[in-house]
Amino acid sequence: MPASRTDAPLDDPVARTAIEWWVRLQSGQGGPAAAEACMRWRAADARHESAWARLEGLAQAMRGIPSDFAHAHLAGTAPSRQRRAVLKGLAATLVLGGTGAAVREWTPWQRLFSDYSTRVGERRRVALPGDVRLDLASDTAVSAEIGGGKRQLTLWRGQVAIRVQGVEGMQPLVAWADGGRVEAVHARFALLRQAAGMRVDVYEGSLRVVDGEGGARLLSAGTALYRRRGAWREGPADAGAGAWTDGLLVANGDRLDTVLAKLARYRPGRLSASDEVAALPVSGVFPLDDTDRALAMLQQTLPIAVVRWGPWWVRVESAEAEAGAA
Amino acid sequence: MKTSPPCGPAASAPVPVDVLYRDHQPWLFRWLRGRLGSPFRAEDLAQDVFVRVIAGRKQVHAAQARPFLRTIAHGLLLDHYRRASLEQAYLDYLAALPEPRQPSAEVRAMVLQQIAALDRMLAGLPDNVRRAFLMAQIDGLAYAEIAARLQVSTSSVQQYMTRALTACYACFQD
Repeated sequence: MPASRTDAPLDDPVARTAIEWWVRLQSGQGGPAAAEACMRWRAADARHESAWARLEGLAQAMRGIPSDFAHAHLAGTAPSRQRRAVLKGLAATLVLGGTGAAVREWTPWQRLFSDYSTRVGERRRVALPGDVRLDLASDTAVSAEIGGGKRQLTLWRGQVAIRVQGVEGMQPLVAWADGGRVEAVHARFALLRQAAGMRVDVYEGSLRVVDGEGGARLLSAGTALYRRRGAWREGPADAGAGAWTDGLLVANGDRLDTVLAKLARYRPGRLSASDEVAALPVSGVFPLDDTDRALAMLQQTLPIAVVRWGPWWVRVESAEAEAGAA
Repeated sequence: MKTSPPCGPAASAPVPVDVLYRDHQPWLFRWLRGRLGSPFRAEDLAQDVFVRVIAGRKQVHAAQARPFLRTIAHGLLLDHYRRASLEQAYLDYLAALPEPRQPSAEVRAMVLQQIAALDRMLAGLPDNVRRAFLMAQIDGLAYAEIAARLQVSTSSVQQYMTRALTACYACFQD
């Protein structure tokens, strides 16, 4: 397979246009109108469709590559990266070549300072030393620094459920999110970080939460603390919220738009509801690992229509409005 | 094998590929074996060198044949080391995964191929372009989020994506 190393512009105008569409849709610009226009472009000519299929094939092939591996090994420093990587590889072989076990011990991702992440739609459980267990929800990034007198986690993005089993007097586990921190010795809790702020739900044990300004408060099992527009509020813990670690979304009379926002975290692209249906109450248990099935289940029990424009744009509308439009 | 295309004024006539192969394969093989240790790999890589020459439809003149072939061989050697080090990295990565997350042998082989292909496609692209591309395609991050993480504007992310997709599009042939 010939591998060209150039990144000169393509002289194939169809390919260039396909890439423009791809970037426009992926960036979310133009909304459903753009998605529809792209579909029309693809349908207009077999060459358009085949250029698009090539991009989809590429996307498909990339999805199999583990995120943490890709970031560790494929994102490296650019121009002379190849040469340096070779030298490094050779040096490592020379120094550690004889002892396979030693090589394993010192691979970067096994160091106790490490990064864990999940792709959209993926969940992951990670066991850390000192009886700390993490469950990463879809689209989540966490780094951990454990050992050498430190027990720290940082939630960079998404949602993580943490279980720490310690005894009185032990150094607490510190979890940072969005400038604030949570300290726990023996507890089960979930941290969520999103554009609107952060949220902590405590299921077992108790925590100390310290906000960015140094204000501290204790939080016990069954309570939640969240920050919205800079202000902290306390409330009951979301009873169904822990179910995602088992791959389930539990709704108990929740608004449809709230349920869709949770599902949206498990699929790429946009998932939204029209105003007419946003407040419909939803009850049920839905699979997070198959959001298309979850949408189909919602469609069976509610007067809604699921309208799709291409792979990234799904809108839930009133079934009547949809029937009227058809 | 193939008729030589019209060429410009040349001091010496281009050497046909079969002659090139006969005259140069032996030393190229020895040169590669000296670097790789394995005669089998050396034979494969020497073969690849000539495949490149044919695929590139390059005119090779007798006087430049050696440095020309050595340049290609050197590039292939780097690719080979890079791929071997990626393969080892992936094996180590797998060794660190808990049992239930271990992929099947077929999946491993496929992922390894995809890793090597992606690595080739991204070669030569600047760091931010690669990072943005990985974040968008593997992590499914929104462009705004990528922009925030890389501390660039969203329109830069769009440019990075266009650049990375363009490079990959040219390389990605199933």
